[in-house]
Formats: sequence, structure tokens, C-alpha cells
Amino acid sequence: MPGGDFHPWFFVIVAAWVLVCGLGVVLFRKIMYSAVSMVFCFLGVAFAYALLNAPLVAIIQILVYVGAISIVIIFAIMLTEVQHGGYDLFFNRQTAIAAVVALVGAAVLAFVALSSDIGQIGDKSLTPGLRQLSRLIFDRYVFPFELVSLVLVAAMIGAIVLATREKERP
Amino acid sequence: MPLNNTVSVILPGVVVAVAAIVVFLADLFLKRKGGLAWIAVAGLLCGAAVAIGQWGQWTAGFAVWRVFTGGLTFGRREAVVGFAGMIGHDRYALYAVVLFCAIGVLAVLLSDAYLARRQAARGEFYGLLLLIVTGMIGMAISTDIIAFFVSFELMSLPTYILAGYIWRDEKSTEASLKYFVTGAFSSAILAFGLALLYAATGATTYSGIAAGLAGLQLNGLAADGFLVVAFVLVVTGFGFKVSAVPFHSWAPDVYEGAPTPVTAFMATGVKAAAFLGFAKLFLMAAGADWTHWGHIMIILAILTMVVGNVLALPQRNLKRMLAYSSIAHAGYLTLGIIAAGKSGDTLGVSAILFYLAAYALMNLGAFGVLIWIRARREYDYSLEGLAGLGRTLPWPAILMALFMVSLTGIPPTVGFWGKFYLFTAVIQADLTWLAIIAVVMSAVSAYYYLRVVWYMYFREAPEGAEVTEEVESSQVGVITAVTVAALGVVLVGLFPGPLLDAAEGALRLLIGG
Repeated sequence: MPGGDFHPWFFVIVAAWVLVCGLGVVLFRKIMYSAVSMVFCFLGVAFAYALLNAPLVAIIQILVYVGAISIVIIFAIMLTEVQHGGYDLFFNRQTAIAAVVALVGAAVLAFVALSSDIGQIGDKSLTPGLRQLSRLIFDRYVFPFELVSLVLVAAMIGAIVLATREKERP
Repeated sequence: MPLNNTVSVILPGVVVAVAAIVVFLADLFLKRKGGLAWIAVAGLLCGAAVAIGQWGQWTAGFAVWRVFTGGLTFGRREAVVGFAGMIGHDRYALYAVVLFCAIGVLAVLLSDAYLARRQAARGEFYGLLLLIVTGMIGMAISTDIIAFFVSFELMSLPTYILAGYIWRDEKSTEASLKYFVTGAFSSAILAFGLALLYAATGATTYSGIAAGLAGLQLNGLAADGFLVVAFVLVVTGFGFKVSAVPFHSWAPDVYEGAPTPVTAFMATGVKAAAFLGFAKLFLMAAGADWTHWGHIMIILAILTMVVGNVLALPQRNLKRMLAYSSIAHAGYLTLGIIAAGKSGDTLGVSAILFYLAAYALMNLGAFGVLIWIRARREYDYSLEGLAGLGRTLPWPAILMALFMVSLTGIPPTVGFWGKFYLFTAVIQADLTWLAIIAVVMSAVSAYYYLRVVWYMYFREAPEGAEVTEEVESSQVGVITAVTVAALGVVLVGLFPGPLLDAAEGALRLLIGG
């Protein structure tokens, strides 16, 4: 059980929540239900961050994932709604294989994480607060931070390129 | 010498990024879009010139790696690092910058007339291409997994867009979508693997990870299974990007559907950046930890060489055939990383550097000839369509023959030297059996490469394959690019010394160098 100042059962409850919502994302047959499950799944992960003494990450999780990304996903569903097909997922035949792969993957990860000593590695004294994070972003990690702005430029221009259907040039 | 001047460390990348922004802005004001291609070429040449100018100032590559492997001592120990260890600017990175800029220039030259003909000549193309090159440079200079991953994304994102650039073409759109979905999936896997590496070592810089891995062993902490999982995930991300088997299934469809200049650029530039970036990551961060990733890489390399070459045999579409050939070459190149990892010597990495330059020349040339043929007459990239080309279009035919011979690896072309140095490095790392597989597979590849030559010279042209009138747009760019590539293949083939010196000098200080 990860360290933190809370009763272990809180973590179990949050984990179960995330698990149930995650199953909902893949098992619901209507895509809008899946999207809403995903929002709740994101929210559960935010709770987990809050429990693990990372309030800032929890807030960012809520802002970015629960807020922005969910809205984008719901917009995407609305804009791509097929007139005759409804919201049903078209291909759902890989359920059994996907379940096996997911379970095996989870089992392997759980096994290697529990059987190794990596819990002892890393700086436990770190409390990722706003001050520490901003210091890291604008000092140590300023190069990747600036590089991200180029990624955003590429993404925005790329989106415009893909969306523009200009007339043939003379 | 401004060692502490961190800006000079990223200068070549900054030059290319600024050129990208200039192209985007100039697109708004220029009436004739042809000028944008020249701005892009100028930006890339400036980037390469800056890198060449810095060559004498920086130390040889992988300064940190050799500390932890205890391998050969070559050059000074302190790496030239900027941004708190994010960037390791060494001759390895400079070689990469020059290579990427050269590939970029040739790709721009190939694109100009092609885009005009497909009525898709828009300025954003060159800007996005320059941003890809910026990301590629970032991958080669990064010595930190966060900087590495962001560069990886900067390289990948515009590539998805360019693959679907001809939106009227359904195949191009399909290629873009397929590439995006597999690419996004592989990015997620890579990010997960890097996160696990961070979890195991508590560091994000390559040197920190190397120290962390050494510390694990020193303190007797059990993390073997964990590290294997982490490296499997990282190798998977690597495998997707370089289209190694079994992560190759996207490559033929994407290479076939994407616009041909973009395919040429993806097969040479993006692949080169993936190899150089991941080689640095594996060898600097985990060079001493070879046992955890070496065996996965060996399996990957064998599968890639065998499956790539065997599946190339029945291909009758040249773009698909070159896609499978590019998979096969990814297999050979992976051998270089394996050899360097196993022996702790830089020979394998030098061989990769040389091979990537050679491969870029001959592959860009081959795709360039396809574009050239398409500009002169109806052509559907089929093998049959090449029949009788030696008579109808003698110049493209003879250059195509040259590139095919070089891709096979027959002396005195550059392809021969590339394979020679690579396989020598593999043998010197006590992996002779791997080198034997590679040589056998190169022999297999002769069948599908030389079949192209056979079709061009020994098959009669079908009815109606006459050369049509010269199309309205000028072919100067394509012809220049193909000629440069052909000259490179022949000249470096005859005199491999200077390029080899550069590839070796990137990693060890030569006497008097």
C-alpha cells in the first residue's frame, strides 16, 4: 500500500471506483455512456492523486482531464454521429482477447512491481507543490517546456491543414 | 569557446525551428509558393552549417556512457551538457544534425514539383517538414527522457499530418489515420516504459538513469523483472517507430498511401532520427545494463531482417516493396545497437551513423526516381509499369539501377560499405551468427532489388507506355535531388574515407582530430 496519511481502505475504495468506471468505458455499448464513465474514471484517478499527497496533480487532473478532454471527447462524438448507425460501437468482437491481454498485462505489472524493491527508490521527501513544480518547469525542465510549445504549433497548424478543404488553385 | 553558453548548444535546432516559423509567416505574404521551398532549403542548410561550424568545439559522443561501461576511453570524460543535463551536445549529435538537414533538403527538393502536380502546393507543408526536422534534432541531442519524449512527439505529430497531406486521395487519408493510430499507441507504450525507468532509478537524465541502474546493482535491490518490463515497453515504442517486426504492419500501407516525397522522408529521416535517438538512450542510459534489453533487441533484429526480406519478395508495387525493404534495413541497423551494447565499443554506433547516411542517399534516390518517372508519364508504381524503361526513359532507368544495386549492397556502391562496416562491427562484438543471418538475408534481398533492374532492361515496354509531354511544372528540384543522391552513392562508394572518418570521429577523438 502506498505511503500517505490516510486509511488504506480509502485507497481501496478509490481503486475500486476507477476499476468499475474503467470497465464501464469498455463494456457499455453506447459510446456516450462510455464517455461519461471515462469522466468518472478520470475523477477517481484525481482522488487517488489527492490521497497520495499530490494535491496539485489532482487539481490539474480535474482541470485537464475531467474538464477539457472530456468536453473534447463529447464534442467529437456529437460531430461524428452517424445518421443511421446510432451510437453503438461497430466492432466489439475482440472482447475476450482484449480481456485476456489486459488481465495478463495487469498481472505481469503487478507481479514485477511487488516482487522488486523499487518502492525503496526515489526521494520520499518530495511534496510536489506549486512552488516546486514551477521551479522545475522554468529551471531544470525549461528545454522540454519550450519544446512543447513547438509541438502545440505543429498540432494547431496540422489541424488547420487537415480541416481546410481549399479550392483548386489555378 | 563558450562551453557554458547553453544557447549555442541548441543552436542548430533553433535555426531550423526559426526557419519553420519564417516559412509559416512568409506563406501569408508570398504569392508564389515556390519561394517557400527555397526558404526551407536555406533554413536547413544554415542549420547544417552551424552544426559543421561547431564540430571542432564539441567533444566526441557519449561521454557519459564510457564512464559507466568502463569501455574504451576516447576523449575527455566531461560531456558538454546544457539545461541541467537535458542536452548533451557532442559530435554524435552534430553528425545527426547534418544528416537530418541533408535529408530534409533532398526531401524538400523532391516535394516541390510533386506537390504542384498534385495541386497541393501549400506553404504549411515545408513548415511542418522543418518542425519534423527540429524534433529529429531534439531526439539526437536529448540526454533526458522528458526532452527525448517531447522531441519524439514533435517529430511524430507533423509526420501524421504530412502522410495525409493529399486529402483528395483516399489512400493518403487512410495512411495518415493508420499511422496516427499506431503512432499514438506506440507513443503511449514508450511513455509508460520511460515512466517505469524513472520509477526504477528516480532520475530522468540518461546519466542519472545509468547511475541509478548501477546503484540498484550495488545495493543488491531486486528489480530485474521490473527493468525487463520497462525495457520491453521502450523497445516496443522503438520498434513501432522504426517499423521493426512484429510492429511493422502499418508500414507498407502507410508508405504506399502517403505522398511519395513524404514516404521517402519517413523512410530515411524519421527512421534515422529514431535510430540515433534510441541508440543514445539505450547506450547512454542503459549501456551497462545490456542484459535487460539486449536479448529482446536480438529477437527483434532477427525477426525484422527475415520477415522484412521475405515479405518483400512477392511485392509488385514498388512503394510497398521499398516499404518492406525499409523494414529489412531497420533490422540490419538494429544489429549496430546490439553490437555496441554487447561490446561496449563505439564501432557499432559508428557503423549505424555511416549506414544511415548511405541508406538515406540510396533510398531518397530510389523514391526520387519514382517521382521523376511519374512526372514524365502515367505510372502506377507497379513493377510491370517499369518494363522497357531502359529504352523509353534512359536516365531515370540507369539511376534507378544504381540505387537498386546499392540497396542490395554490391561494391563499389555506398550500400556495400554500409553493410560491410555494420557486419564487421557485429562480428567484432562476438555475434558472428547474427552477421551470418544478415548476410544471407542481404543475398535474399538481391532478388527483389535486381528484379527491378531486370524489368527495366529486359522486358519490352507494353503498348501505350510512351513518354507523355513534359508536364507544366519544372522538374529541376527532383532531378537535382536524384543527381545529388546518385553522386553521393557513387562518390562515397568509391571514396568512403571522409564519411567514415566523420562517423568514427563522432564517437572517438581521432589522432590530430
